[in-house]
Amino acid sequence: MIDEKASELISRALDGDLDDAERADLERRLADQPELEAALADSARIKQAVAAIAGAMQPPAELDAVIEPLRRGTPPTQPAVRSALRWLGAAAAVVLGVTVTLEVARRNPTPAVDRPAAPRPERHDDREIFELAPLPSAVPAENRPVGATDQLLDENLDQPEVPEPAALEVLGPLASDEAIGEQRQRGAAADRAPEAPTGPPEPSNAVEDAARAAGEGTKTGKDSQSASRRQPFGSGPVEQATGPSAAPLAKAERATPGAATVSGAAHDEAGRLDAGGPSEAALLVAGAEVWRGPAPGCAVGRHTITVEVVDGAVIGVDTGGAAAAPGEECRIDQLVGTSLPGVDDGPQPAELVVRPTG
Amino acid sequence: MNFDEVYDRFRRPIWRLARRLTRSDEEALDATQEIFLRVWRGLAGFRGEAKLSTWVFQIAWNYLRAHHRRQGRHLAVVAVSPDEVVARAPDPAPGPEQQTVAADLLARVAGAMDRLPEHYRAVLWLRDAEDLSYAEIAEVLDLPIGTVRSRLARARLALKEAVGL
Repeated sequence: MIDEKASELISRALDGDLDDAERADLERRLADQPELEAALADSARIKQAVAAIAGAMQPPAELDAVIEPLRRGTPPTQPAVRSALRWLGAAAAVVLGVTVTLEVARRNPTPAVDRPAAPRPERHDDREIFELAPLPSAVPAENRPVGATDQLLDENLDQPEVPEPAALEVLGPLASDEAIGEQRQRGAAADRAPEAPTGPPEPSNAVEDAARAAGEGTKTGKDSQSASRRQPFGSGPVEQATGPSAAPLAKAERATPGAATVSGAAHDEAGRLDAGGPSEAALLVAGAEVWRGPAPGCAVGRHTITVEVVDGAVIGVDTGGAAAAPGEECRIDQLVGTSLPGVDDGPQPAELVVRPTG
Repeated sequence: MNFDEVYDRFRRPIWRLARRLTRSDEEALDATQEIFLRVWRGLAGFRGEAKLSTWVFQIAWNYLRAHHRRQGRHLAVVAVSPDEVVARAPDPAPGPEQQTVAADLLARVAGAMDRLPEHYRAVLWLRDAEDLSYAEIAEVLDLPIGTVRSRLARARLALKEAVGL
């Protein structure tokens, strides 16, 4: 039996980690215990085998292709998103399949078999006679459903009334002197184009327009609930610390539950939409602000991102979908190196709050 | 050091580690991409306080560990099957009989590693496959160097027993 000390000496000898005294100790043990020689030889063979296993593994050629955007200086498509979409698709298919199966089973319960079928009476002629049981309905035979699918189709199901979804309101960049209400009217007019003649928009303002949209939103019920859950940009510790400039936005967003808003866009005090431009960001980890700085390419708003922490410092940032526009990159590289004392190593969720500057 | 140099130097080791820990070509590809994305983003802030290899492996290890924790899985170190190892391994010895013996050993080692506890597999792989020093392993795994020494010795002993030597 090899003791633990001898095992460690053998292991370290394989790696050349012994000092003179330890090497002498091992040689003394090898002389005293011949079985240690065999153990040393076996350990050396296994070490070589592990290295050979590693040497046999070659990365696929596809790796270079997916890394190529990084070599060119642009981040590639987020693999996490691709994986998530793959899993989401598979999960949706499974859920759909289970739902359909359960629903069919519910509508067509299979009678339980309580006892084995009675033996068929012997017949002495060579023909078997089949008799059809009468169907339990007065419907003519040619019109009766013949299977589970036909029964499902034949039933007059109570379809829940699905409200017409609110049209997505796409607001392009504002003209320098255009108010948000004007733009929203412009978008609405464009949406109505096939049905109503377009004309000059009536004077309006953002709050009134938002309130009107809120009235439409309450028709469906769901929209008003989702609006009450939505957290308006402008709340939270960073906004409170930096002033009330986002208050009109919060008011407008609360008042427009029926309208789809462009994620990440924000409004300044004049009610204008900010689609980009200079911005600054604050990073919150576990609710505490840990960093503040420029955020070029980041969409205004709140984003959940991931920071890679090693030894209490940020060594990498995954800004995910925080980019201001497709193809653009949200860069907060200055964050790298920021100390995060007390934060565990590894990827950590963080909240990035981006505000327009100027 | 620019990103190209880092990638050229670490593409194989990082992919191998990812492949071993994820057990899947597809996941390994995604993980390697994520790891190099973090390396790319962090490279400007890398001040050389740690060795570059330690820094890159730390990023890889932390990502892979967190990735598997999120998925509720344990890390595996050997992702290739014993047959795959034998098929891919270079000729280990000149004679056919010796080749057979060596191939058999590779297959047994590959299978046995898969059955080792996670903390043994990690330290064993970083040392014997990736040739990291004890100090580097200690940094990557965030362990005292004494723990690395004793854990590696126990891991080798456990592997030897699992292989049947």
